[in-house]
Amino acid sequence: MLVISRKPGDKLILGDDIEICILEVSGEKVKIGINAPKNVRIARSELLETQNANIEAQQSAQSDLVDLLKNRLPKK
Amino acid sequence: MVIQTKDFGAVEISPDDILYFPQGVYAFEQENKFVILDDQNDTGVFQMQSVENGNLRFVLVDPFMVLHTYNPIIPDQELSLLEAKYREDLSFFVIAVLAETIEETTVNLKSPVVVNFAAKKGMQVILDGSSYPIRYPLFGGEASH
Repeated sequence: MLVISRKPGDKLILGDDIEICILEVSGEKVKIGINAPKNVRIARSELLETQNANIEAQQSAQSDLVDLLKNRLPKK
Repeated sequence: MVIQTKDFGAVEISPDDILYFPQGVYAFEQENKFVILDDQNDTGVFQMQSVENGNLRFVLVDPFMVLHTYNPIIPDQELSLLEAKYREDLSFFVIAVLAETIEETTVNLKSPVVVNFAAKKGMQVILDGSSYPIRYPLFGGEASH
């Protein structure tokens, strides 16, 4: 992974037409601005990972595995 | 009314049991009506079954049984989407990805299914600013902390 240090107000360019601006840093949060063509999909990674997990969850919901799970969880 | 389910065949449910998910759940945004079926045995495992699509269902787990210190913070915007006044009105579930071995089974603590049963509304909330994992091992997670 390429690692670059930038300050608020600094920018990065990806390829020919994607611009990433570091807008603000406060505490643990970084505010980022992105200029990109409309056809470039931008999503928080946890959104894609949650979509993938949901698809796998739906495919893996087999009754034998559910029974296995129920038997292993501690009783309330 | 009778709905089709993958495991239990045709199941009789009351229209009052149907929960409306205005935004669906992630990757299944078009599915808006679910019932959460309990197996009556207090196992902490639930089935979230689509009312309109018998093949679509998720296995849910009570997150507080998985991680006793679980403390999801639901923002005001989501609270009002769920028509809840107080956070105490909400019930929490996490979606399980089951695996052949139970040790590989994970739950998504980052994106709980949040339900206001009184208003019959539900949604999947991606918790902002929390470091809860999307794939948290169901067993061995808490013990190894």
